[in-house]
Amino acid sequence: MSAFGALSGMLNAAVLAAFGIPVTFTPQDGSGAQQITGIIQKPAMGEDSLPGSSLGAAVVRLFVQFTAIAPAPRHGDAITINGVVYTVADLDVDTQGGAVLKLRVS
Amino acid sequence: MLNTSAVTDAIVTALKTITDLAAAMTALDATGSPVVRITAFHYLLGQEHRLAEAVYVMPAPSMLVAWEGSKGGNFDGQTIWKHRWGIYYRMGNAAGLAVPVGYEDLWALTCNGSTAVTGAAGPNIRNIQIADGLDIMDTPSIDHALDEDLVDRFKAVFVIPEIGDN
Repeated sequence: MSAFGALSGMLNAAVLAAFGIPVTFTPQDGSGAQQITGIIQKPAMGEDSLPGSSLGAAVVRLFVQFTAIAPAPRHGDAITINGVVYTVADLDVDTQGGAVLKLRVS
Repeated sequence: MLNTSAVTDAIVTALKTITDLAAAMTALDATGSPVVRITAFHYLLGQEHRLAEAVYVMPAPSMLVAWEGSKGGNFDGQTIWKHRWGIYYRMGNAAGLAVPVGYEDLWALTCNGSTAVTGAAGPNIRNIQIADGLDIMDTPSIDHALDEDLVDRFKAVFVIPEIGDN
């Protein structure tokens, strides 16, 4: 791994440790639910109410350390945040091991 | 001129009678009961989201029907109004499904699926009178779109002429 890659990994780990929240990741391969850490990012559009639960929004962007999660998240996996189940609708993986999962309430 | 609010609801009712389409749009609600997620949007500020947000937060799977304008003019000897509705599609999660229902399938079901608005299986939605005072719809269209997160979705357009001036 390049020096920049290593530093990026350290930075991701530091910000996830400082600002991350625990979420439940349920891969579709049946390997079982696991807890991962992610950071909820600014949404593409603000929602004027919170469907799903008093804490949930319908659409969530979640930053994760992609390379630290096994199996790697993919379209259709489930992620539960504050009791609300979301489906991974899309994911944008960067070159340094991070990813933004685009989640939609199912 | 017809009040298009009732027609919006009639389109929803007609879409729900397409058995396979309704099945593809069925999900469990918060209580665990199955619900067909084909809904109408009426621009009721205070009761509903703004349209852009309503589309943005559509769960998967779901469809949303919204009146999006009426065109006036002398189209022929008996038509002076053509009303237009947008039909927004959000397909369900296809992960792990042996027979997933994608956007191509949803559109085929919409256009060709048998409706049952009169109680028995009937012609497809393109060939029925969806509400009193309306002619059968013009040939419908659908286009690809991206939502605010660049996720695929589709929007169909129904243009329905009104018979005379009600």
